[in-house]
Amino acid sequence: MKESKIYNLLLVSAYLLHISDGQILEKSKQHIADFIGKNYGRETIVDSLKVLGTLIDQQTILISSGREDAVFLKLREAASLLSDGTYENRMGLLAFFIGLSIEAEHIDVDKLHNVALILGLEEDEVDIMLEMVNPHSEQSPREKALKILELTADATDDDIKAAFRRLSLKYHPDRNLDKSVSEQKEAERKFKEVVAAKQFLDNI
Amino acid sequence: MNVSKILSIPSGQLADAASEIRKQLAEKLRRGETIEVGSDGDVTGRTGGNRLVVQEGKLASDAASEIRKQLAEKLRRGETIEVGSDGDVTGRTGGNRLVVQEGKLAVRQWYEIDPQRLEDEKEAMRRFFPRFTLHKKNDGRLYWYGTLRLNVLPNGWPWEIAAIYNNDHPHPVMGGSVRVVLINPDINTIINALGWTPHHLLRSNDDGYYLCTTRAEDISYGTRFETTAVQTISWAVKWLTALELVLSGDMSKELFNSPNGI
Repeated sequence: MKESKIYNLLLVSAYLLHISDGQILEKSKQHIADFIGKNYGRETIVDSLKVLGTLIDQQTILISSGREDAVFLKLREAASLLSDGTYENRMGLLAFFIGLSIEAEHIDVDKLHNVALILGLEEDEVDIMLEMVNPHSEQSPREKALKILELTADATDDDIKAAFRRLSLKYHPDRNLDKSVSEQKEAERKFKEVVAAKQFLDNI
Repeated sequence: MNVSKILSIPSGQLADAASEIRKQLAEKLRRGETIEVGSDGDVTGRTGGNRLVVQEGKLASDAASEIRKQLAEKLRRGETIEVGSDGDVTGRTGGNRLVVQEGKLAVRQWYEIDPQRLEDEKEAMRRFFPRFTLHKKNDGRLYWYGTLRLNVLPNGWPWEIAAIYNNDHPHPVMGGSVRVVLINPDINTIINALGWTPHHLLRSNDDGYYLCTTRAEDISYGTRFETTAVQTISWAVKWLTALELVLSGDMSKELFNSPNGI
């Protein structure tokens, strides 16, 4: 069913959420509430959390009945509404879903790869964002994101915007068509990192 | 959706000896003829016990039937209904208007008392279920009408449903203050196709069968629980998903009907 962006956003969230003892962690709920409030209005939060609970129940029923195929069919349907935004917007959604997995204390890479495909992205983008939140790294996730944007820890929001604009233009695939194949691939990788870093800073 | 399509589902659940009887009963229901219903919901005549005779035309008084007629008439006339910010659905402005079903006492509707709540409900529905449209029953109650397609059955069908606000919405009541009824296929067709009456159904004199769309832990008498059309329709999606799993043979009747089944 493809009723609305918010409905499908919750559908994908239900797919990613790890439920412990039948309960969603409060910080997972808060992550969703913050994103919904920011993008759709705070008055939508109560309905959203109720719908989320129902969608989790629905997926549980389908999976326990051996109908994982129906769950994937619904995810594919969700793609039609969630994947029609700009690359930047879709990366923002991916950052939201990765943030949700972190708050749920359950990062399922395979599921996140599926979500990336739903959003019209590639597994690369998931791996880039997950590297930023790698707990075994010496740098904090924010430090790593700022470093990709060639900024230091004291960067302001305006600094981040300016750096993102400059670097995304520099590495945009359309601006590197005259380069060698290996240089184009490197630029594409840099471009993905820059967008991921910006969306990470905005959404996680 | 016609009855024969439902009854031709190639699943083990429906392919039993009683299917032909159910077909005949479903056809009788479609024609509005009298049938007998056992106290256990059996309509095949196989069980004993007290029997309730469903009178001719009885189904025509159900909310689903009334809404179906109303929508068909609007469609025939090429009409659309817009509900104004003050809850006006007549196109006139100014003053309180009450549309009261003949023979019933005038009831002040929730949307006249609290028009802002109606605006909130409309905005929420626009965000979650934008293809649903708002209409008004002859007794003054508002309802959302739309279609859900769940795709659990390989060759499934769209479910036309209506979510009807009680006139004192959002006053907490068992089953919720927004009642979901199946328009097409209707619940009586489903009951006859299954051969048993699914749980999580409530029944009223005005609306016939409607889905119980709240969880027991969410609502009980004396609580301040409130629900919205969005939450109710979302729950209906879950209910219908489980029903399609029963129809496909992937969920047992026992599990569906168990208190914690769905």
